[in-house]
Amino acid sequence: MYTGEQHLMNDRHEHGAGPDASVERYIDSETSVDDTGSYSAPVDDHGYPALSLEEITPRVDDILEAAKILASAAKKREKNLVEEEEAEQAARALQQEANDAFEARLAKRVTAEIRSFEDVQKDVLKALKKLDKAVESADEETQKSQSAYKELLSIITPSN
Amino acid sequence: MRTNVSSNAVISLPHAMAHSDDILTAAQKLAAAVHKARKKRLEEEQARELAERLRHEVREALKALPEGDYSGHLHIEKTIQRELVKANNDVDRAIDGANREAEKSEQAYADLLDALLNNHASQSD
Repeated sequence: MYTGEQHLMNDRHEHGAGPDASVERYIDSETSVDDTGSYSAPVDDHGYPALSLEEITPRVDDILEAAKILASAAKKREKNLVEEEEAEQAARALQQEANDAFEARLAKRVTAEIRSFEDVQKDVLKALKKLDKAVESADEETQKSQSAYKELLSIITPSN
Repeated sequence: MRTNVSSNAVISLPHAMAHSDDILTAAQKLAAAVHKARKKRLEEEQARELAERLRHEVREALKALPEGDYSGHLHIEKTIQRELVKANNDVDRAIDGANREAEKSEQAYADLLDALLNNHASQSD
């Protein structure tokens, strides 16, 4: 079986896309909505062959479990995105400070007020590490969301 | 591929993540209603068994009663028969409760499907 995820995971780092693109990359082409704008109204209730209540009744606990994982992962990812944003801003500010320190060093304007280029550089690297961690974590939570969502859909969908 | 999740009627992953609270709420209501319905069916079953036993007891007690023993008859009515009426009421109550929870289950499942399926055409987040 071909899974789009594998491919999506591999080229994930080749694009310097913003935070929200990370989710887009996980959208299985199978589950994504048609974005051409040509939405056609469903024929029956939902236009979707979902199982009946009787059929899913034995699995309501599995449904609840998957919904819990989905909600928790989605929330964690939101938090990661905020952290990502903060880390990025911090990194930018520090890099600016590093540039200033660098210029000051070349111009031999080194004073006690400005931190040394080396010191600031260390903080820049720390901020970048934090950023990487937030991005990685957001990706993990997106993966968890994806598998929980797939599980949820598979429970309510006839298997043949 | 008609019966596959590939139908574009299901919402996208970002959409599902953005609405995960609605999905969770519906799933919680569904599980709660299904469990309650199951419990009510069990109560119905137990009340039925009790009623059956009491009916049998009443029949036996009446059979054992000497002809014309009105006070004995009255005693049976005040004791076993009263319990039987109560058991029958419990059966009815359990059936009502089970039906109510079945309705709630249907509603919760409909809400869950509604949250999972893309019948909100204008939403494009």
